[in-house]
Amino acid sequence: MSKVIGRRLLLTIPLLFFVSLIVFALAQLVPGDPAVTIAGEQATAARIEEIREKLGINDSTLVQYGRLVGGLVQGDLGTSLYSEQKVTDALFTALPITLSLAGLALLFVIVVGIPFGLLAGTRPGSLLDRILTAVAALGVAAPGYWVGILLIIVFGLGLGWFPTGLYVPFGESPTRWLYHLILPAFALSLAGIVEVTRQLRSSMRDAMTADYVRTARAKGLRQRTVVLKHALKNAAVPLVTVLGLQVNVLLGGAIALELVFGFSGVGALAVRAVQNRDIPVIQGIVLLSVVVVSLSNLLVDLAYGWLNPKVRAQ
Amino acid sequence: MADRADVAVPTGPEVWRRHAQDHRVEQSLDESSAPLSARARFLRRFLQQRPAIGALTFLVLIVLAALFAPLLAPYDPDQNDIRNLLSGPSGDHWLGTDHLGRDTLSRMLYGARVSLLAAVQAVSIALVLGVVPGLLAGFFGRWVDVVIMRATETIMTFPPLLLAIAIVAVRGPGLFNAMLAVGVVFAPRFARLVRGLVLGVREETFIEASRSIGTPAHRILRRHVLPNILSPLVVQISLALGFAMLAEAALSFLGLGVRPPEASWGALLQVAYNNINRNSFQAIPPGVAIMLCVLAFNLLGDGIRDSLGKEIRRGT
Repeated sequence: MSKVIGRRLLLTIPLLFFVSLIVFALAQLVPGDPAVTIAGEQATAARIEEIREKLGINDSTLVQYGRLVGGLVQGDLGTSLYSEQKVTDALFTALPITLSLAGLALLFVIVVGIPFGLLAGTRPGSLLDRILTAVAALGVAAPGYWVGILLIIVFGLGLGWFPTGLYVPFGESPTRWLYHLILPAFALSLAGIVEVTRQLRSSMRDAMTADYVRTARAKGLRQRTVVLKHALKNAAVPLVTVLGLQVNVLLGGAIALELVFGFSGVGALAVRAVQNRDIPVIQGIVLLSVVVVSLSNLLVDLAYGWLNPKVRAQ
Repeated sequence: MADRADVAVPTGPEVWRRHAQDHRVEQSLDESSAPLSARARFLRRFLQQRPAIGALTFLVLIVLAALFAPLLAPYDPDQNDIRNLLSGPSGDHWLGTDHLGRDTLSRMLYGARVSLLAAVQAVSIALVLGVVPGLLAGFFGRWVDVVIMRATETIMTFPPLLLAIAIVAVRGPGLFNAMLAVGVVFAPRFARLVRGLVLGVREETFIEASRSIGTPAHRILRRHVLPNILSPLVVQISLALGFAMLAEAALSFLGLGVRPPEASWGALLQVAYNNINRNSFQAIPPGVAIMLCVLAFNLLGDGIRDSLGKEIRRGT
C-alpha cells in the first residue's frame, strides 16, 4: 500500500510542474499592461505602480516564475490586490464552508445513488428502472443552481420548512449546520446521484449475469448476499471512478450554489475575485482545487487496491 | 489516471477499427453507391430512435424560434413597461415580466439566440483546440503523444467551471471570453477521444499503403484518418453542445458571461433569482428551457451513437 502511495506522489511532481506553469500563465495572459487592466481606467499612477509592485511584474519572467514556485514551496500565495488579506488566510476562512457543502453533497450521492443504482440494476426493464432512467436524464440536464432556486421557492419561501441561506459553522451548532446545508447540498448532489445511479445500474446489470453470480445462487445464497457481497463488490470499481470524478464536479457546482444560498465559501470568493480581477486570489483558488482533486485521486487509487486484489499485486 | 480516462471515453479503439474495416469493404465493393447505403442504413436506424427524433424536432423548433425571434416576439425584448413590473403570466404577457417590466417571452426568444450561438461558439473553439492535438498525439505517438496527453491530463485536473472562471478572470467578463474559456476547458476531452480513435486506425493497411507511397502526414491525416473517425466525433459534439449550454448558463448566471441588456437564458435566471422574493415564477421558464435543450442534445447524441452500426454499438 505504501508503494502505491509513494508511486502516486512521485507522479504528482510533473503534474505540479504543469499546474504551476498554468497558474503562472494566468497572470501573464492578462491582456495589455496587466497593472493598468487590473486597476481600471480611472486608476491613479500610484495605484497602478502599487499593483505592479504586488504582482511583481517589474522583474523578468524567469524571476517572477521562480518567486511563484518559491512562494508555493513555503505555502505563501501572496496577498489580495483588493484587501491586505493574505490569500492563504482568505482561502482557509472560506474552505470549511465549501468542504461542508461538497462533503454533505457527496454523502447524499452515496446514500441515495447506490440504493437507486442497485434497485435499477438488479431489475432491469422494470417500472422502477424506467422511472429512474427518465428522472436521471432530466437530472443530468438541470443546472444544480437552478434546482437550488426551485428548492428555495418550494421549501424555503413556500412551505417555510428550510432556511434559504446563511451558513452556520459546525462548531457553533452541528444541528443548525446540517439544517442550513440540506437544501444546497441536495441541489448540488443531484447530478452526482444521477451519475452514480446510471453507472451502478449498468455495471450491476453486467455483474448479475456473470458466472460467479450464478454459482453463488446455485449454492443457495440469499438474494441479498448475492447482490451485496458478490455483484456489488465487482461493480464497485467503476463506481469508485465515478465517485472520484464527482469531487471535481461538486467543487465546480458549489460555486453557483454558494451564491444562490449566500454562503461565503471558496466559490463566492472566486466570483468576487473575478469581478475585481484579483489575480493572486484566483491563482490561490486554482491551486487549492488542484490539491483537493489530486488528494481525491489518490484516495480513488487506494480504493482500487482495496477492492481489487489484482491491482494490489501489481 | 490512465485507467479512469479510459472509462470516460465511451469507445474503444478496437471497436472503431472494426468499423473502419467494414466501411472500407463497402467502399471497395462499390465506390459510388457505398457511402449512400451506409448513410441510408444510419438513417433507417436513426428514424427508429423515438427519443432522438423527438429531441431533434425540439432542437429544430428552438433554432427556428431563435432565428425568427423578431417575428415571433410579441414585444421588443428591451422595452420597459413600468406599469407591469414582475407580473405573473397573463394574456398580455404569456410568461409575465421582469423587474423592469420587460416581456419574459420576448426575452426568452432573443435569449435562445445568445444561448445557442454561445454553445456553438464554445464547441467550435474546443474542436479547433482539441482535434488537431488529438490527431497529432495519436498519429505520431512517442514524445508528441506524451507531451500532449500530459497537458490534457493537467487541464482536466481542474474543476471545469473553476478553470473557466479563472480564464474569464484573466480575459475579463463577456460572452466571447466566457465561451473561449468553455472551449479551452472542453478541448482536452476532444483531444483524448480523437487520440484514442486515431490509435485504432493508425495501424490499418490503407494508412500504411498511403505512407509507403510517400503521402505527407498532413494529407494522410486529412484524407484518410479524419473521415474514419468522424462519426464518433459527431456523437461527442452533440453531448458537448449540451455541456457548453450548461456552462454558458452558469457563467452568465454568475454575471461573468453575457453583458446586460443582452440576455441569455442564464442571465435571465440571474435576474429572476435577484427578484425571487417578489415573483418566483420568473425563475421557471429559463431553467426549463436550459434543461430541455441540454436533455435534447444528450438524447440526440445517444441516438446518433446507437444508430451508427451494430459493430460499433457492441463495443460501447
